[in-house]
Amino acid sequence: MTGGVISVGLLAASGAPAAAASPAAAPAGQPKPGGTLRYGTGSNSSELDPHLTGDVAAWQVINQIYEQLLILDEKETPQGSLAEKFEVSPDGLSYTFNLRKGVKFHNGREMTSADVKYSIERIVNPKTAARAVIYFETLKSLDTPDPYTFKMTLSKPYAPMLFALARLETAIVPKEEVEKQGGNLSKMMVGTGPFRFVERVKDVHVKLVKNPDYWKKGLPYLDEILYKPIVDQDIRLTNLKTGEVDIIQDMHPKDAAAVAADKSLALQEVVSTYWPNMAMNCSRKPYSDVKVRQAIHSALDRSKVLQLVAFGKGQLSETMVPPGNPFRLEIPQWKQDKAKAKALLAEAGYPNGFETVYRAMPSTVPLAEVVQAQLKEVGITVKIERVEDTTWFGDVFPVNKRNYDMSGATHASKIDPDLTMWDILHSRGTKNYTATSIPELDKLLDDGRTITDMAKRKEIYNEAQKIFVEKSGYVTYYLQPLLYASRPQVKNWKGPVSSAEVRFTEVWLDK
Amino acid sequence: MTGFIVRRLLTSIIVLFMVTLLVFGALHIIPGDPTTLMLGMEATEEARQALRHQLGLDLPVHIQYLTWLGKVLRGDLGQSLALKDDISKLLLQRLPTTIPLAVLTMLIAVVIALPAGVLSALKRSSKTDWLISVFAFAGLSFPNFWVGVLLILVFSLYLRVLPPGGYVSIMDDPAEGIRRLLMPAVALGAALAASLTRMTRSSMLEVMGQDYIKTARAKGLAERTVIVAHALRNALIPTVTVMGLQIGQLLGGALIIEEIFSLPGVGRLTIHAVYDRDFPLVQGAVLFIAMVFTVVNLLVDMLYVYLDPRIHYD
Repeated sequence: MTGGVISVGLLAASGAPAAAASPAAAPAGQPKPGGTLRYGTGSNSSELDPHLTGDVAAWQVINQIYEQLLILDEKETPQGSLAEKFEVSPDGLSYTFNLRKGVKFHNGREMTSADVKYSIERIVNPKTAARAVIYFETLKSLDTPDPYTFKMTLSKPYAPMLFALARLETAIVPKEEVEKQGGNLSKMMVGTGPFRFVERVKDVHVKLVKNPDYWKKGLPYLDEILYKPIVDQDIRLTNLKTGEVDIIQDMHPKDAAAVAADKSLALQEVVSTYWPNMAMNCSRKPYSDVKVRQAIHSALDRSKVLQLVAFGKGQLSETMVPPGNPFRLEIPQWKQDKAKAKALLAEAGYPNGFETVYRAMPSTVPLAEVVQAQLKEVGITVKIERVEDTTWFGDVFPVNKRNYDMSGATHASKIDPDLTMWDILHSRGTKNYTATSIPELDKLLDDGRTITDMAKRKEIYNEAQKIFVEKSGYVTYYLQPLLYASRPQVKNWKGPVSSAEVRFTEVWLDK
Repeated sequence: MTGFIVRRLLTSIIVLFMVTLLVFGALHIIPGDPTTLMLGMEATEEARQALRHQLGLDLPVHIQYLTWLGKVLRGDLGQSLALKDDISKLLLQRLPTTIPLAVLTMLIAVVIALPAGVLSALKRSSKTDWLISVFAFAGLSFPNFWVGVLLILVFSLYLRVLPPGGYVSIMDDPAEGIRRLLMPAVALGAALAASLTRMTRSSMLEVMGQDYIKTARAKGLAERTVIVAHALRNALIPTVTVMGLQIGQLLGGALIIEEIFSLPGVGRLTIHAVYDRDFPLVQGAVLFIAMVFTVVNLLVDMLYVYLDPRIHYD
């Protein structure tokens, strides 16, 4: 029985013997155990229950505490984590997992298939209101033939399933701990991961300590992790410089040059999966007319936007699928053509342009201002209305509200294009705040979800990306850079493509 | 005096009640609810509805308010929606930061302002007076967050003598705890010192022109006694009112300074609770701040009687 991924149209089988994702390339020098790592994060974490939370700051913490059946390696391929080996039937309906033996929860009890079953049942239970429930819509049954074997059957194939099982939202949790807290894991977290939860003091820190019984022998190296929430980017950088923290995330691009030149600091620049975007409400005039949307595309100069908003850091991209992802389609950039924009507007019935309101969350205002200036040149007058984040989430974003004309946000792409695209672009998508409704796109997205043949899926999503770029309610600009800075004592640290995915399992401090 | 106190307490209760009503109303008018933060951007509408129901947010608004009020009258401020912690506990946890910061700030302000104000008044229209006035204007004009950031730049980044914020409890390590509060207290205290200086100065000037000062001098009292025991004592009365209001404000937290220096104070707790739409936490925190303010004001009024025997309440 070979482990590794069996081709279900996701990636070619490698047949490699199942093992945990091997540690990253050997660090300079021998890893020294011990030490406290202080991580400067951007906000307090809120909800800490892994099945419920969507908060990036919370994920950063619970990523060290919980684990899933699978994990993505550096090539973004699902590998075994809590599952030592796994197999998918050729029809894509049966999944079998052989669990690792001797994995202990932080309360000392060994993890078994009953825990996996319990965790997934908790996720699909509507009362839990878990985020991952959308991955299990076609779930038929869960079986535990013995304590180390877990089987899952689906009624219809679901292509992204293996990726879903590598996401933190499907973490394996122990039943008795959940019930001790009345069904919720917000306050005391018990997982199988390399670090254990100690305490969370709001506005001060979150403290984790090493799990001495972690199943990967010899890991982790660190004794303790302290997450320090520092909201202001400048203050965060100052704290790094004065040695109050060891790593910071989300550094502002304007500081990149100075930090790169500073020998006492190390800079890591990653093209993330975050794509800042502008949204045009297709359920309202004038954006319901595709000509108007295309006029706006033609009016914008995206490289200027990258320059002005991100100080040139980031990667221009029409599609939201990041480079390196097998599904990515290289789509030629919309060329700025003001004459064409004006012509399209005239065709649509707006020869003199029009006025519109851009409801912008504070973090998106710089982008909105650049857009405002560029659209003015084709006769579109944009008025920017600042909207607080929570108000935006309550009034602009929900599909039953969509109270806006123009707006914007930053979305994160996922590994599998279905996870990225369906909810935001399908006419029935629950996150489709642009009200994009294109029948051919709907069909493509539905097919892409159930067809498992890799070549066919690539074709499908290539088409989908074309439609996304040319006709949807979204305007994309670039993929955001993520800037991490650290002190040189921090070894084996690699800033992830999404700040939610920080992992400290193999990080060590050279003191 | 007792009658006065009782009447004040009764009016205070009415004021507090109105405050809670206003805050509750405002929170429910603005769009957005706690489910956004708790479940994140990716949650489904069903999940949000389920959570809303669980939290009792789908009940009629007046029922929600009365339920909350009922609990408060029994001493229960409820639990934070985001943190699932007792709100009273959360607020008490903030006091070891906010109280020492308020006290230190007031101390710095008073130590600077009283002598400066008196000196200014006594040497009126001299160079000293002019210099002190310039500093006072500077203190009033510079925004406290700007002063805070400037202090960090100078003392943390360039001189490396003070840490750029972060919290250490006074109860665990008094020396380090106070060290961490120095810059925030100076940043906050600068503006306070400025206004207190001006206040003290004009108060002193007014008092010094009074007849009883002439009498005291005529009686042959030492100048020092005249200034301190007679002039200053009376000049303090309006100054004490201002100080009372300022302490009340400081105890309500200093939001921006707390953010800049990463201090877990009452201000930060409250404002984040508003962003999170953590309704019970906002209401509990605002009620707490209003109560503190009310009590401090009452104490200040009672202090008058000691300072000025001509004043009595009945």
